[in-house]
Amino acid sequence: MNGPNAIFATVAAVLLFAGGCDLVEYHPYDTRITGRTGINAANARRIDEACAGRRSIRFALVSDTQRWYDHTRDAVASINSLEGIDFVIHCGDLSDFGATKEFLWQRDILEGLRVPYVCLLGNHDCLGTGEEVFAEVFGPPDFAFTAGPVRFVCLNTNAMEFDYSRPVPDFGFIGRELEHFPSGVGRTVFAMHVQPGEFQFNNNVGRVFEWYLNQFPGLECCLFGHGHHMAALDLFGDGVMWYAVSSIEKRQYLVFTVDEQGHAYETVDF
Amino acid sequence: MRMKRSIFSGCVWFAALCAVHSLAARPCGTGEVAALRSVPADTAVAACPAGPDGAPGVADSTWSGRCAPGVGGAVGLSGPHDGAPGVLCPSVGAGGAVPGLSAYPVPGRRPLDRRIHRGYASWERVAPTHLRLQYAGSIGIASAGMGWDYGRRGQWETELLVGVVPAYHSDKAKITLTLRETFVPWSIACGGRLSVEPLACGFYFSTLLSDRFWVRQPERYPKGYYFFSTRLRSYVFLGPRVTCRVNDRRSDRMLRAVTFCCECSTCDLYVLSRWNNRTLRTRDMLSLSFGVKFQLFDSRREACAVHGTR
Repeated sequence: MNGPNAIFATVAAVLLFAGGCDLVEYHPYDTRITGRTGINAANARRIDEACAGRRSIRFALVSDTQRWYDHTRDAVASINSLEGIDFVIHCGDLSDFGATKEFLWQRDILEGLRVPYVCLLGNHDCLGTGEEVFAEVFGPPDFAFTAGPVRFVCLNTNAMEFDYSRPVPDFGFIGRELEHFPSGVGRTVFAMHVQPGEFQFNNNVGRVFEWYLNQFPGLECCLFGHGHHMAALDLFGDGVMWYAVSSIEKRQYLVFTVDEQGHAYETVDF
Repeated sequence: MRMKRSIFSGCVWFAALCAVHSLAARPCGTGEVAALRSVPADTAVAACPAGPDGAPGVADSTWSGRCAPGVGGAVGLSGPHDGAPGVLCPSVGAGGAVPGLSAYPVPGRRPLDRRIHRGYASWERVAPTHLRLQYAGSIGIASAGMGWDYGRRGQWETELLVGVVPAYHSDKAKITLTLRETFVPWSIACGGRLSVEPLACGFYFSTLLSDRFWVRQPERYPKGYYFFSTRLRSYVFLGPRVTCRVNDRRSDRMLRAVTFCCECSTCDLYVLSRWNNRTLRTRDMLSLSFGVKFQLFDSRREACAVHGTR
């Protein structure tokens, strides 16, 4: 092999090796994803199967874990140490900047959970190419799953991030969910990142949103994050409770129990 | 409208780059080059010491830019292309590189450091002195561009690169524009044509030419809601380089040297993410890149070696 060919072969070998190396990055927003994808759909199936026929369920609610990787890891360890948790809901904002690696770092930490988990889309997750990465790693921003006696409807409510160019919240999705509500399931819990009234929400449709939610069978409660603090309030004065979970920085999360008597929640410090 | 703004900001970048480079090169270009231009060719040649065999010294036009004594009597002068007297000549006979350095100690030069800055006159100062190709480095899967060397030993480089980021899971591929500043403090000559630059370091700013990203948050958000830019990234990097000088017997050759670079970089977002987080490893925030730099020199240009005395 002569000189130029040897150089070419060496360079090609180095680039081939480097291409498969996790130290090579094409851009923080390159959407180049390695590892597990389609997590929400797969975990929703696991939750459905694990809770089938149950009359009570217990789940943990965390949110806003962006850039708090140590806290998230500690929360995972704390949830793993609890008995009787069926699944975990992450109410969004896994990333701070929408960078591809942020989602993968958070996913890798959450994969340490012993129970299945689902993640919602937060406003920070929409930045840059974040929404595409979220869709690939976790799934569509609007989705629903069944856990025992409860139907969980998870919605993208970050209207401001889409500048009203897309229907957020998507009443088409909500309407289809209502139309095809599973038989044998008597109650509904809604989860979202941004609650009505906050500037990120499309407040022009706040009351319409409330009306739609109340059409669902046995509306139990609504869950959200975004505010970085704990709260429990009757947002519309219609008797439906809205629960906010703080950011993981506060080293707190919520644990909910839903049974035949209704629902109860507790705050866990770790 | 946004596209116009992108083009405008690109032009501003380029103009700023030219201005910085022009200022940095000014003392050399207006001083030594002009002085050498004004003297007859034989005077310029006589400025170099005679070789051991009595042949007159030459101002060598090779990339190393040394002032070498005549060896083997092979002496020539470059022809003036615009009527001005030529001050350069093709290289001397075989093996003239290192003896030239030892025979003519240049103030401020290091024994093993053969780098030297070439000064150009007038508008030629803005002409790039090298081209660069790069793989990865967080500015695209591949990027290419041009650059300028300056500084007493050519230890500073400013480069402008255009990169391509494939679409992968997004709707379309993206273009990046990068302004890069490199400092190469040491160059160690190894044998006749190789030199090792053990540490090159610097920083670069990269922007995405896409309407989806913003430098400052759009007006629809409350003031200070997002404190960072999704469009403009800043990076720091360091890494070793190896330079292979092309055979200098052919002084009319456009390509003077090829430098292979391997760099390790990180960007502002990852530094912020790593801050106060032990869960993330240091390697999580690092990115490798591989580059090739082609050092150019057009012998038709009137140029001179400036021996680190400015």
